[in-house]
Amino acid sequence: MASSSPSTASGRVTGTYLTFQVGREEYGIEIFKVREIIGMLPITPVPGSPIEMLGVINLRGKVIPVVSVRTRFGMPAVEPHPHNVIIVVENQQGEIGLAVDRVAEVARFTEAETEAPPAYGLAVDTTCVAAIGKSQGRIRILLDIARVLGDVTAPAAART
Amino acid sequence: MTDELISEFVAEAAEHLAKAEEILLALGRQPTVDDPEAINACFRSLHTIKGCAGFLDLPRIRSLSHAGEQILDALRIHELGGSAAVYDTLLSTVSRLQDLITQLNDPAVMVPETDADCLQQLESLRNGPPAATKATATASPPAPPAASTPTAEDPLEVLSTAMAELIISGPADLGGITAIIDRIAQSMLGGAWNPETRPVMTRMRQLVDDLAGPQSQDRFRELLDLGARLESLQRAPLPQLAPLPAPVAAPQAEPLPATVHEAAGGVLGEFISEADELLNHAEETVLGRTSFTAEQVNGVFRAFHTMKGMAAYLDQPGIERAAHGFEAQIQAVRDGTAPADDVFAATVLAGVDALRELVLATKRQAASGAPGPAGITAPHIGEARGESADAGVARPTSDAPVPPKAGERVIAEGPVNRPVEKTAQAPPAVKSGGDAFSRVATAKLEELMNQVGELLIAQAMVQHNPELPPNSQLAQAVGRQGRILRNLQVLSLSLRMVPLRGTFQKMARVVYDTAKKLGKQVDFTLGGEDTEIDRTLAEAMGDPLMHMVRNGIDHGIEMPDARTAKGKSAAGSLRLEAFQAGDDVVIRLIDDGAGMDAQRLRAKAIEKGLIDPALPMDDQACFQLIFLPGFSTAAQVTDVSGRGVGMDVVRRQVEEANGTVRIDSTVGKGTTFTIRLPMTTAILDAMQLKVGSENLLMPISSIVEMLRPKPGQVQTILDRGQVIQHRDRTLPLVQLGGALGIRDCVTDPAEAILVVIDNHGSDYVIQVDAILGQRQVVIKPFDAGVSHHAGTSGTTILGDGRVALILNPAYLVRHSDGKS
Repeated sequence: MASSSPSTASGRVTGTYLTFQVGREEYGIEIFKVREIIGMLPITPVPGSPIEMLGVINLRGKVIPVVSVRTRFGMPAVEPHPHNVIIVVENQQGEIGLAVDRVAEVARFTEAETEAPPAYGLAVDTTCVAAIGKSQGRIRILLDIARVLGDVTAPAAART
Repeated sequence: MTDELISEFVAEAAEHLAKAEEILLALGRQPTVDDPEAINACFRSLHTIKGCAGFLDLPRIRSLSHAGEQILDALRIHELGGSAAVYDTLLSTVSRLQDLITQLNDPAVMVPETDADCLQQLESLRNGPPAATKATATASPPAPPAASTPTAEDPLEVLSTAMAELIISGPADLGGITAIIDRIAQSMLGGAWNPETRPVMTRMRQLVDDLAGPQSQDRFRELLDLGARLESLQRAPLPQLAPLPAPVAAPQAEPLPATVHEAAGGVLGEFISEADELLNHAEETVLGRTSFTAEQVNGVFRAFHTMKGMAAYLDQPGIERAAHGFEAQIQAVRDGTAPADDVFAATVLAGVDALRELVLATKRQAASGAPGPAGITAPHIGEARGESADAGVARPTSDAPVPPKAGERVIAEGPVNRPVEKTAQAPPAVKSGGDAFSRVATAKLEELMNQVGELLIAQAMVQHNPELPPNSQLAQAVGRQGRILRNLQVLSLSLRMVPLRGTFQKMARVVYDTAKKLGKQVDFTLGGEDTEIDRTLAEAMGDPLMHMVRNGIDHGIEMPDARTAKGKSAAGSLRLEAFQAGDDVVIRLIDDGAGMDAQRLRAKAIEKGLIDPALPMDDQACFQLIFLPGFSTAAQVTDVSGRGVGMDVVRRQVEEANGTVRIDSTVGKGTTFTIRLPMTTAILDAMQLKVGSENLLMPISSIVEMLRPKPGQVQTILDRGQVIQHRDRTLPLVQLGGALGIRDCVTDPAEAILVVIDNHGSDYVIQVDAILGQRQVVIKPFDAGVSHHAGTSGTTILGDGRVALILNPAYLVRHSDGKS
């Protein structure tokens, strides 16, 4: 994970992130966790799964779950858009898809460009945030993907 | 200590052991080459296992890995020189560790009671007489002790004479047997013996002491087995060029005939596979019978006779001699000077086992001789041994220095009845018709099926694309492509199928051993062994069948005199058969024993507090009580069954395989167990249902019928639950859309379609929007991390590439409160 120490001013790159937009915010996940980016596919809902889990998709013959980053962070659902994509990431359980509004770029952050997340005041649950990336005058929320997906895999009450 | 920790340890240890095994096998091929890197790696593996085992309080694993580690340490610091014997011992230690670790996960795996044999071997490596070490240092081969010891006759001569005498003496002549064993032991002191024979000898001596007790027949047979093992161990040549750290005084094994190497590819390979067939035939003939027709005796005789002839031709004196010895025994039966009874059967079985060992040893020699440098002819036991990391697969007997006890034989009888496994282990040098198999990781098969499935979908998209000009050459080509693809799919699915024969044949041995132990007579017959079933299911059924067979003989079939008193034949009949019924495979075990009294079972369960006395139960429900953990009808716990474990395993494992067990029994007439399994775990025959915009698949086997409700047929109870009157039954109605949280579905039953679901007595009806027809689908289980409604068991990919859910009828109703 990116260092959260704000004091050091070294120019060392602490991480390369794939950034994406959800709502008006831009998020990043470590690039080495990303397997691929695919266009939106038909998603089959799975009864009894947590609300943020949109369902499962057919990824070349493999059935993998897809989680909505929007719903995960409590944002309202919006109409589908052609820019919507699924970012397939690898976590402990295997491959899992993250549905996001659109992909932005691949960005590198030096240690000086990252700082610890504020403990309050963000529209998102900060336990999932590894660091805040500041470069080119923009703020990017760098996610700890294991924590983002951690709750999704916990059993939830059936949605009956 | 949690299960999670244990299973993590099991997975990690399995990896370490696999690595260690690989390294040791490589080292064993070139024992004189010093490879500190490899030894270090091996040392680290065992060291890690030791540490974890200590932490998890697994003393057996800890002490065994500790002993192995010490040897590796000695190798590391050159206190001990590498030799084939050292690596072989380490390999057998590793494989024992593998067994112990596998057992942690799967208690059904049989492991010898103690590791004394392994520990002893390791100890003897370390504490080898200093003379031997000196011999290594001066690089001079140890002097053959033949000159100095009076008893140094050829060990094989001693053994074959002794074994022949043993067979003739039978189990009754205790004094004679003791004398014979003593003679072998005496000869061992002479030194020209393979050190590995010693633990076997120790066990033989123990057996002799126990011979006077009950089950002497069994013990005697084991004694014969051990004798055969001694012979094969002795026959395996000792490392001659390798330095000798172990208490190997003089390697004096028979030199490997040169012809073996030359013949390895061709004639010898044929001999090995033919010998296998002959021995299997002989074993099948005698198993389960206690009296024999002249034709059967002749058949067995011919098998041994042919073996003898072939062995003589191929210059395999050991096999020739052994075959001859047993042939002579059978000749006596043929001549009528000895009865064709169970003693005859035991003799034949001992002969089969002995010859199998010898053939296996020959195979190993051929295998190790072919690729290695000339002269080093030590057997790479590991190559012939199953290097499978398969959990729950017990290893062939060749693995353990001491064969398991009679009751354990069943599972350990690996080499005989597992054609696929066996051939996969066969080294490539041994080429024969029966060995044309290759071992493929299941994951690769799954991936192949995935890709073929995807290809089919992609092809369908082309074929049904409106832009494809109809009746064009292109359309024809695409159509042909589709047909080839479907063949490919059938083929890829068939890769997982194996006949039940292997699983069934193992039961013959279980029957034989169990009946012997209990003093009962059983006429065991098989049927439908060629019925094919998913490989994983065939393997998974081994344990349940074994428990059922044992249970059937123990509790079902009566003692011979009791049977005669009831007017039945003295020998009980036990039949194991299989057949295909639609897409299911049915396995039936039928006995004509005492049968079960449903009311007695119920009373017993009530007495034990296992069920509520107020609960009304039909006979089937009463019979099912025997599957409850802790339920046992045996008045006394016997050696074989009756501890209340076992039968609960049967139902659990069958249900895990998506199967069902049914019991039918009539007091005094017998009992029939019927196991019904899907043919494969990968394919499901299902009805595609439409609910809202979702496609759902219901297993065809659960569907009784489908109907459009007539007006008034659906009624409300208490203004909430809905029921339907159908064929004089009142069945609860489940709105599938509501139960699964699917919106935009039809809510009025009058406009919907109702499907009657068979749920083993608690049948119900589901309401769906439409029926889209029957499909054969490839099951894709949910990822471990995906939580889902219990009423869904998995997913599948439909022809249009979309994912659809597969329903689990057993849990659909429990999770629905019947509300609309």
